[in-house]
Amino acid sequence: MNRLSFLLTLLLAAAPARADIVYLNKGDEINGAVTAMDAANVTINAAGKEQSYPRADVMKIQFVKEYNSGAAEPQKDPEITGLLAAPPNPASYPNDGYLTWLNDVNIVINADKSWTVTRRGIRVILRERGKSPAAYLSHNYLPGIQTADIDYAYSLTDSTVSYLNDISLMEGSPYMGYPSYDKLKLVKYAIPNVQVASVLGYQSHSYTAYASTYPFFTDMAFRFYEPVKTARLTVTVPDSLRLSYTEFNLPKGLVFSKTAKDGKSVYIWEASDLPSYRRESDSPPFMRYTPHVALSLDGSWEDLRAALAPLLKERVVITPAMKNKADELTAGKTSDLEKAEALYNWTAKEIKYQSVDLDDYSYLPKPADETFSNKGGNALDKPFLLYALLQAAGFNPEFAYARGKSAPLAENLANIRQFDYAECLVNAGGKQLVLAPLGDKRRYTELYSQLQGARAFKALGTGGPLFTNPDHSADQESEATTADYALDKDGNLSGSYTSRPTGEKQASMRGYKDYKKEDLDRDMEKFVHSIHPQARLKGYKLENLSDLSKDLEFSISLEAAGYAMKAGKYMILKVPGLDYSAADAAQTERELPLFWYARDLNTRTLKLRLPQGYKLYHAPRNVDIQQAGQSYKAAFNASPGLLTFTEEFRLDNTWVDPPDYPKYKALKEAMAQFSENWIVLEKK
Amino acid sequence: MKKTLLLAAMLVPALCRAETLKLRSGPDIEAKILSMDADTVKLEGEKVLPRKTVSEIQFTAAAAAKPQEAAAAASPEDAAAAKAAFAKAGELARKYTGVNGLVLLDSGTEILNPDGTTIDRNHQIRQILKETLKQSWGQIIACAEEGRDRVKILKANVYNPDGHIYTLDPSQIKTSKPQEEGGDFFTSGNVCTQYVMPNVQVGSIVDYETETETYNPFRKDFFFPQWGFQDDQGPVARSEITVTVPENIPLFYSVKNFAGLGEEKPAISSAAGTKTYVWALENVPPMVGEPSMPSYKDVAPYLRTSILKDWSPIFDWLDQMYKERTKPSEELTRFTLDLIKNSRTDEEKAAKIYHYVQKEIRYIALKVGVASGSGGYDANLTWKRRYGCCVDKALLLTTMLEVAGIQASPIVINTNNQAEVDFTVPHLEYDHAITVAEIGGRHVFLDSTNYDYRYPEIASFDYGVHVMNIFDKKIDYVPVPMPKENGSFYDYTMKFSPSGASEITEKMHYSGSREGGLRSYYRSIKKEEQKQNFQSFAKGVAPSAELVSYEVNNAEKIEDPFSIGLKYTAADYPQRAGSIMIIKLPDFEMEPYRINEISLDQRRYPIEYEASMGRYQHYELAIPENFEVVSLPGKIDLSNKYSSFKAECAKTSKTAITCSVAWERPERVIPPADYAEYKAFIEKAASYTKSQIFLRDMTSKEK
Repeated sequence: MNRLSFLLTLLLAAAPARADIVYLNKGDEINGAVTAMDAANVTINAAGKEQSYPRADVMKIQFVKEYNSGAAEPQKDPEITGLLAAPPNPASYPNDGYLTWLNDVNIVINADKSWTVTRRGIRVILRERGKSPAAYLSHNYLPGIQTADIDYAYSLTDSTVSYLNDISLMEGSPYMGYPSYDKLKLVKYAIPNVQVASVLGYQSHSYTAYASTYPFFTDMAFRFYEPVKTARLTVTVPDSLRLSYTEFNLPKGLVFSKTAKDGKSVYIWEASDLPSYRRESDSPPFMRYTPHVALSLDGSWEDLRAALAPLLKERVVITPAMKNKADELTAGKTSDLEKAEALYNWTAKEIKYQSVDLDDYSYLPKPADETFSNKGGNALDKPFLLYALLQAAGFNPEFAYARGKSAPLAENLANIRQFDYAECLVNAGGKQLVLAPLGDKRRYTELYSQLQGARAFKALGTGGPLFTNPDHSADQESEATTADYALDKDGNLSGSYTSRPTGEKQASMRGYKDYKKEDLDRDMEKFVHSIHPQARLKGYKLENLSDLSKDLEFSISLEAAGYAMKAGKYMILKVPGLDYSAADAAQTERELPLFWYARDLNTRTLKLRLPQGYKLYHAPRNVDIQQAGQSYKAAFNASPGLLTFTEEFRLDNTWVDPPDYPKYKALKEAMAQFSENWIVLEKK
Repeated sequence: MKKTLLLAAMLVPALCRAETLKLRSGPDIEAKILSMDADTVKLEGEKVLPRKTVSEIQFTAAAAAKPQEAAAAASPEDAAAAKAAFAKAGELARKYTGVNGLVLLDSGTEILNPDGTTIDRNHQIRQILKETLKQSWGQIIACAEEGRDRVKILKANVYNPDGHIYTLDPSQIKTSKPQEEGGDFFTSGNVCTQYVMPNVQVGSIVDYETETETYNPFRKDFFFPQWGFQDDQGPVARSEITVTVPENIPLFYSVKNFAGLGEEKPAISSAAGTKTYVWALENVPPMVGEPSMPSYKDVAPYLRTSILKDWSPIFDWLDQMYKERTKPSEELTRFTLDLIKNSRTDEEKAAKIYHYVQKEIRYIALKVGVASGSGGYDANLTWKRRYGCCVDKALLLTTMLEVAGIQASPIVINTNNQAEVDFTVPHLEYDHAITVAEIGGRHVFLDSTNYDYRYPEIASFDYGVHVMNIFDKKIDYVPVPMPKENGSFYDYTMKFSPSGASEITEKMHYSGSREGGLRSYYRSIKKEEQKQNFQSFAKGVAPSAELVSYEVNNAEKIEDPFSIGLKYTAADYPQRAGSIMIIKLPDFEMEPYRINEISLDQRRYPIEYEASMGRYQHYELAIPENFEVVSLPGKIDLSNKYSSFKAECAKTSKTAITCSVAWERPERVIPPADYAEYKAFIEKAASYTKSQIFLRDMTSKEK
């Protein structure tokens, strides 16, 4: 087929057809074009035949819109014709499901600080598994502030253009389960007729009205888990406003330009031939490594605080009921520390956490009395209520927004929309506490790992507006285990162990408080079974499970028939529960850093009483290795009738760059190799 | 004149009510539509809307809600109800400790009116004993289909232990349309009514009642109330369901798992031309979850009712829809015949068509109403769109098979991870659709929803269930394959040097749903990620292992068998203990996580697997010359009613050892009565698989 006839075919194939749906009361759905309706009947042309239905039989009519406006016609799009002239070869992308040929984001900021965003894309399907993800698109909008529309979306398969229509487009609320926060709308759609080698084109636009608490901010990533041929970000700003931006991890070869024309400045970032990422274990959050540009209008943190503080202060509504509650909670507490803890514990437990992002609802908290009476709040409103209760109790707290570790803070962009958490700062008992009551499983001293060492913005308070949260040491994120076991001459093991977790581990284990007793019993049985197939639970204790004012203590006792195996005069066994794997360090090299949200410390002391008539024939060699900010040491000590095992794993460095990966790999291999070793006993 | 007026009303009922117009931008409007043409919608009052500004016209929308009032003060009746509820809660709490909540009343009312409309009321009184229930028990979310149903919250009281009573605040009732992120499932047409009950705390009792009225049923003879009497968060003091039907309509029912809990027969009463049936259970203990247990409806006390005597109306309804949607266009016929032009046998034709529908029709479910929900879309439309859900794909497959001269029918099925369909009472209960075809004298079930299953393989969740064969109008059964037909086959060769340096080769192939499942995984990941996987495999066997090579065969080519293989070396794979060399066979050990279903000492419920299982391993070991065998895993031959495990290691020459394992489970379900025996069997087999190979280095000076 020559090019002219190909384009002609496109034109013919792209002729629009109306596709409405008439829903009848009896359940039928008639697909076709509704041609007329009068007082008595609805007429639809379905499959070339005119059919009439009494209006009384019709439940509803859906008018199906086809999204083909603007620059929808592929045959006129130079990007498409260029692509078709030299289509990408799937063999050149052996890892990938689809290629983003073009990812073009065009932002226009208006003089009144409102802004429009036009997103245009072209994708090519390289192989089967790329079909669904490439053809699925979605966008959100906040009614009242934003509007969003699709201009066009189509697939070009062989010579057929198939446009998206309302049939495979749906809008609704993603937060329906949180009625008090149900504002955001999700629009999702699937482009039809997608095959391997199809070309997909789409464009949508949105408009956001300016609000001081929802200002312009965007953060565009350039590289993803599928390759990108060309990624372009264009931002047009009137000369009356100044744009600030921060570039993160931008690749070499990215082209940046800034031009001025007609009283506007135009900024363009363009990157080409960005390969796909591959999934690697323990990699950092996406925005910590992908190339991206964060943008905001110019301003200072001080100015932001000055603008925000009055709005926040007017929401610090302390009702008599709140004052009474604060008094009740702090009554009898003798120190500020105890009082602050009591207020934190109450907020953490009694106010249901509503998992709704700030960006999906509001950066301005609900008035504190509203959260108090609703008994529910998100990552902004729960801390804000605590702030009010601290005030009610006579503290002089500060209130801050924090950027979790999922993305870096662009320090030069004074913009509230960079934050995804909130927290209270209070001096109590000579300590500066950072309190973030989100869920109901953490003690007041146990900051979420997302917030440990996070950058934060003090919106209500004194001193510099930006600060860094305290980071937990490995000891604050630890588990200390002691175990005492005995082995008999038949290889049966019995004994118990006790564990004291802190930090994330304690919070995770406290999740058992939500189990009913019988479910917990069964979970403990399952846990013991994970040590050995014939292990039986003898008993367990989980103390202080629901009491946030106390640390947890966990102990369990068990027995396992046939734990040690016999081979002639030998009996062999491994340390119960010692099973390290190097499977996550199997790659020879990595592209992405290794990352953990929190430090970690695990210690264990285990005593094993040997069976009568047996002596130690072989114990694994002691190990002591330090690599890449992590360390592992383990040792066996034998005395008559007793073998003592001690180990300590410490993770101090939560970020390991790829060049240091071989060191991490060596550590993991040494640990795994150590746990492969057998303890061999020999009959005396 | 009276007569004329009545006649006029019957002819033009639409004139008498307003329609709801949903606009593409702006709020909905209610207006009477006079007429509509290709470009405009004319409304009463000479208003004209461009048609392109209207997205939907609702003819049967529920009446708009009246302005909402604020909460009323608690009445003496509320106070009495609170007092009674706390008394009941105290009684129940003494009997059941450590539970998350108490269900004091779980009451349903289902009414079928003579005109086919229905009313469904739900009254719950529950005490919240743990924080975890404040969210789920402290709010009401009730969804209904626009144009058919309307939801009302009749009552929503909160009784707090401090004596405060909070009554329903109608001004706080909201509505919302649900939508979840994700590219496969699109639903619309439902509106949910939401209400968060205020001041709910641990210790609060919530007392609420909702009503769903179906004022526009799509079928007036489809009335299938169901009721579960047990809760998984706490005990139920009283659970009851009342079903009222017109006296001339019989009600059929089936109850399950009532043994020891109460009377299976309902209390029946008649009044004012209706007949009322009541089932009630008291003091129902909480359900406690177990690994690999059947679904709730299969193990809880459960009631199904129906006004249909037999399944014919359901078969007829689906048959009519499916027949209409499986008429091939000339274009589809031509295409199908062209597709199979080189296929000689029915098997070849069926395989070609099966693989075509699997590959070329991408899975997207678009559910906008009854017909698309249950009936799917026309096969020709699905073929054009190149996407569809399980029903759409089953209809297209059926259509194309019939074009090829192969008799076929759509099948509706409740997959084996859902409740077993109770065929004693007709009702609508299915979550999936597949196809059955008569091919080469065989009755072959085909599931074209997934991409990865080689003809005639199907997904494991289809096995072992009774299904509705629509065109044959009969109950059919999808058999469970024999273990070898749903198996994993592993071959290992291992060579060891005197220093312990090892070279290991693994080859794996699969049959049945195992093959499709594995293919699906490997096809979904990148080539580089496949390599990472094999590197992890090797490292999982030996920490010092280094991958030498790997192969993934036919991940994207579903017509051919899928297989994988890898080769790796390890500097020190066997463990040394003095002169002893201890060799672990790769994948030999039955790790506890693989047998989690037998982790409990006792079970109340059956173990329910998705499929049968066959696992076959064969090992060839070449050991160094100067090593002698101290001990090998012995021969074992275990079997019981449900499973067998055979394994053996033997020295086949001075330097060669061969081991083999065959673990088969033809059954899918293990009843609780046989659990102890089954658990002991698995534990014995698992303990055996901890066995190691012991060699002694004859040249070592160590003892």
